[in-house]
Amino acid sequence: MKIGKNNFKTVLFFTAPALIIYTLIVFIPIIWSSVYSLFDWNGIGSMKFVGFNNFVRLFTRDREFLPALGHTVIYTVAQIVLQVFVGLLLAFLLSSIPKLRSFFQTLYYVPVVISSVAICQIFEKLMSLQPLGLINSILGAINPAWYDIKWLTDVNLCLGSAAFVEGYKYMAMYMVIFYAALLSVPDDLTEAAKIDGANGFRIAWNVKIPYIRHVIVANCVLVLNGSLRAYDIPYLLTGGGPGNCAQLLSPYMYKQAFSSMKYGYGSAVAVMIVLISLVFATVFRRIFERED
Amino acid sequence: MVNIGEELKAMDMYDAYNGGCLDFLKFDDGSLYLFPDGRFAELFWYWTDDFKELGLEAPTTWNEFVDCCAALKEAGKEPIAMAGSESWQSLRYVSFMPWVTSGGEFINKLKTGEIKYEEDEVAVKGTELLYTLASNEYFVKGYESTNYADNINNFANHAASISYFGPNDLSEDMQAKYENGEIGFFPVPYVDGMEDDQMNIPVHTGKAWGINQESYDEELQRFFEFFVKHHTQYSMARGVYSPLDEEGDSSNMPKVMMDVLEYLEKVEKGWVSWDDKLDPATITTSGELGIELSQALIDPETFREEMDLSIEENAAALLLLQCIAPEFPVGAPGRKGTGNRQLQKYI
Repeated sequence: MKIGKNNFKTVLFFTAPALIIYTLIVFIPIIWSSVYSLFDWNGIGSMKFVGFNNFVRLFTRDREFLPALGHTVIYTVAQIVLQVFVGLLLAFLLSSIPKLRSFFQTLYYVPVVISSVAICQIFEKLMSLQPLGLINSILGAINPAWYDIKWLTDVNLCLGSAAFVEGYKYMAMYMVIFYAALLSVPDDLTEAAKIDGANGFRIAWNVKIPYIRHVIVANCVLVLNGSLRAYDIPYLLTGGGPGNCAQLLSPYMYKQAFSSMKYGYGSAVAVMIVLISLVFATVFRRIFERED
Repeated sequence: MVNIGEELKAMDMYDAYNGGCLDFLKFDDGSLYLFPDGRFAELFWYWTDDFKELGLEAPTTWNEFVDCCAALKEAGKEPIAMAGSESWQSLRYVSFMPWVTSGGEFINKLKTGEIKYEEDEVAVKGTELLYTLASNEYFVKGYESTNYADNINNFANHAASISYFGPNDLSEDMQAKYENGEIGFFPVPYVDGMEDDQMNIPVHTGKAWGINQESYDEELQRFFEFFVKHHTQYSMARGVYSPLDEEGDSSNMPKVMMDVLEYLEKVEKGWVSWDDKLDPATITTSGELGIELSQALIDPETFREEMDLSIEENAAALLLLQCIAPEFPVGAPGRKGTGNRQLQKYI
């Protein structure tokens, strides 16, 4: 489509504010971090240019970076399952009930509006061992050995616990998006399927899901990017966990830059987070666009 | 920054301050650029009935401490309540032994790489102490995710027999129990075979104040002198200890605070916090390692090796920082010959 001179001004008028804000708060900091990542700097003294040494060190000598990347990938997959697929399931259930839809929609949405700190405090108490929290009290009543499950400090469990809490908090947000998308599925499609003898599952699987496929892909990309940069819930709940068993990339970046005062090295981790997010999102979109 | 030490001497008040409090804030060269906010102590608290039931005495050495824990565990009690989610609590157990025997000598040598961890026998014992307590499950169930406030609550609820915290954190209910003889306290135990007359109660100043030299005009100077001369009155009114060794109106102070104060007056050696002595990267690493050791996820050898490795990699940054900012509050080797030689070695 050709954009005329007047149209171009209109396009510029509408896109310029977002573009300027995006440039100021996203693009320039990324460039800035990229520059810092080439230096050895403690935040106070002079900066020493080290080229790509920080990046080489990340992949060759850093014993925490690759495990943190692995944890982040696991965490991201868990978020896609919990937020996208469970969110989609909840949207189907919500759209299938004839009454009280608004009530359940609001009820499910409550965790989204509660602050992360409050959610973490609630789950810390629920998963506590001393005093005994509600979750272990119930599990212990079924099997006494389950009284002592260390949800937040067991090296094998704490990453999963943090992933569950984050998934629980945000799944309703995607449920609402899916719910709106499901309402947009034309009735004549579902009616036609019904006439052809399709049951509820077949209608959902063969009619509704393909129709809202682009929404599912968009939500997956949103969750993917959000999870690769996850910080608050895993950090507040586990603090990286014992032995850094639940360390994710963003808290690791914070630790290097602001706790260990290695601003250059922390910036290198930040640049890697940007690159990894870009690569994951691009690959994800390409796969689904090709299938289209 | 204003040289607080010189100002206090000019007011003839330097010697009125508790030696332990000033010692806590002094740089390695003995200079004092920070003013103590108060005097805070840390002690071990215990439920006396648990000890009496098993015929135990308050331990005076670390071997006795471990024996007490073993006896309590065997009797089906939870020996120690600890804030396992807070790294400083784990580091306390690692640092008790070297502090009791030599104050800050070990950590001040370790932080610049002057010695390796393995070279200090007592410091090695300190790491083994924490591992022993953790691997024998002497810490209360669920301590791994417990914070400081919950730790005190656990002790107050008698979920464990012993805990380590400050007398300021005792609730009114616990103060009453102390007065009834249900709760007692004991100072940090000695290392076996190295007992002496020193009173081992970690004393620190809580917050500390610095004064900007540029703002320090005649009026501020007069205010500062007024404050110094009324510091005890100000502290006692808040129900906390004054950093000065002088008597004040103690009507607001509960009995337990007054009893602990008697011990504090004998303290001349300030507490040495490891979490502000090391370079920033090693502080972070030591905290993580401390938590791992307190859960017996790593052995003491790994703790020591990782500490040495982190100091080797990062101590140069600390020394550089001190040369750039000589008043950087982690000690001041950069201003002395030793530090400069160390720095040249690293460069």
